[in-house]
Amino acid sequence: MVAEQAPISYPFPASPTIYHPAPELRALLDSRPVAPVSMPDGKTAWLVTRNADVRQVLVDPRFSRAAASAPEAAQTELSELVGESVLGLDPPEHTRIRSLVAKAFTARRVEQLRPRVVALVDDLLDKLEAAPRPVDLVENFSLPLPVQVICEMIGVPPQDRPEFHAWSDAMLGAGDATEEEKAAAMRGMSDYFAQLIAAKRAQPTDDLMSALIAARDADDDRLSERELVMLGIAMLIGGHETSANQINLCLLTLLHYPEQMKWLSANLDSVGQAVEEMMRFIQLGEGGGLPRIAMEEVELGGVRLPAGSAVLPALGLANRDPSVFEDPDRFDLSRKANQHMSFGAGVHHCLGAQLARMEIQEALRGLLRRLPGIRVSVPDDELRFKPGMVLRSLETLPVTW
Amino acid sequence: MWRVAVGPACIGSASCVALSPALFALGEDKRSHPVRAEIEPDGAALDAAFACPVEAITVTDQETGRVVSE
Repeated sequence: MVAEQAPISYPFPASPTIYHPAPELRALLDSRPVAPVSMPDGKTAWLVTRNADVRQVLVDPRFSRAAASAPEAAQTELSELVGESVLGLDPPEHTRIRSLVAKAFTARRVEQLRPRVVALVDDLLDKLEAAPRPVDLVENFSLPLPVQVICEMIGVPPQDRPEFHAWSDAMLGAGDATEEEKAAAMRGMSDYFAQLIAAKRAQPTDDLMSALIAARDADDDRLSERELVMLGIAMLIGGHETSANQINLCLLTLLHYPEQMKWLSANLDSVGQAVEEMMRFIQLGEGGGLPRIAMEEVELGGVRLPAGSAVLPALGLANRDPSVFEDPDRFDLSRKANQHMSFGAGVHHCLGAQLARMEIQEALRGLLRRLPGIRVSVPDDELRFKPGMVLRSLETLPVTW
Repeated sequence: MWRVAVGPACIGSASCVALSPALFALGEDKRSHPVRAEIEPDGAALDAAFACPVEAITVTDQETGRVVSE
């Protein structure tokens, strides 16, 4: 085997900068767009980096999430967490469950929530302004905002955040959580939701969990009790970890590119388009997205993948594909028609995509309008990211202005 | 017969393409388009319409003019 064909190993090499993918991975876009990866269990998977190929893996039904969630499949950090949830299913089971909640997350419904989110942003900024500086943006803004929004939507008490956020962190690997710690967090979260569901079943409230309980109780073929619990967990975790950290990384990226920050401050009406470029550019995770299994032989990017091959779609690298994005490593908030892959595609396209977009737009609009001189009070190399997490998650983000 | 249309709200999430590849395809513009504008009544068209994150898909019963995807 020639050196060039030697598989890269998983976990992937860390990037020396939070602003770009690891150079070894970035190079694959040109040299080996479908590249073999040696997994920790000795199996081989394929890392897919080009935009069109990633889209095909996510959209083509010959690539299965359910098969990738089977216990014998190549395991990545998220396997256990998502294997049992809607993220581990293919149609028609996936359709049965997701269709119960899809309507609550459409663009139209999300727009109705915008005034509430604007009010929450203002309220958090009032408190932030009054706090002694430097102040931690994670604890006081970027985390409580999406937590409050998803909690109100699904019907989880936001004041339980310290409890469920600790489980959520552990389930996503924070602190290099062991398998036992991840399993314990999963049990904690499942028991929490079982109690919440029992309380809402006895006394329904006007929220998504109560609506799901009613749907299940009317027709238990529609949703099992375990599926109901797993759906609640998926919405709670998916609804805050990603948005919170994306808000942090948006601010860091804007501060790293001051001319772009200046442009956005002067063009806040273009915050929608700007957030799309931040979604494209920012590397929230490192490396591959949730794996798929090829259910039959498929030719992808000139490579013949035998049936049973595990495939890792690299969303963050697909966002740097020069055949789709001109000068892809340039951060340019004026970029138009931005076909980024950060929310995925196909049946597993992020359920909360429209909600996340709106939250991030309003968070940035509020921050730049109210605190135009905001800056991080520690240098980049003193930023502390939680070790082991599947996404770049800051412990704290001390800011001043 | 049913008429299937994808409106300008489409963001190219391709949920419909993945769910009902016989009915929807991504165009060069990376937006979804119906493979055929007129189809025999088919639950897969409704699944796709209900899954669309921006409610861009409309399915209409041509005889009655009723929108069946609501």
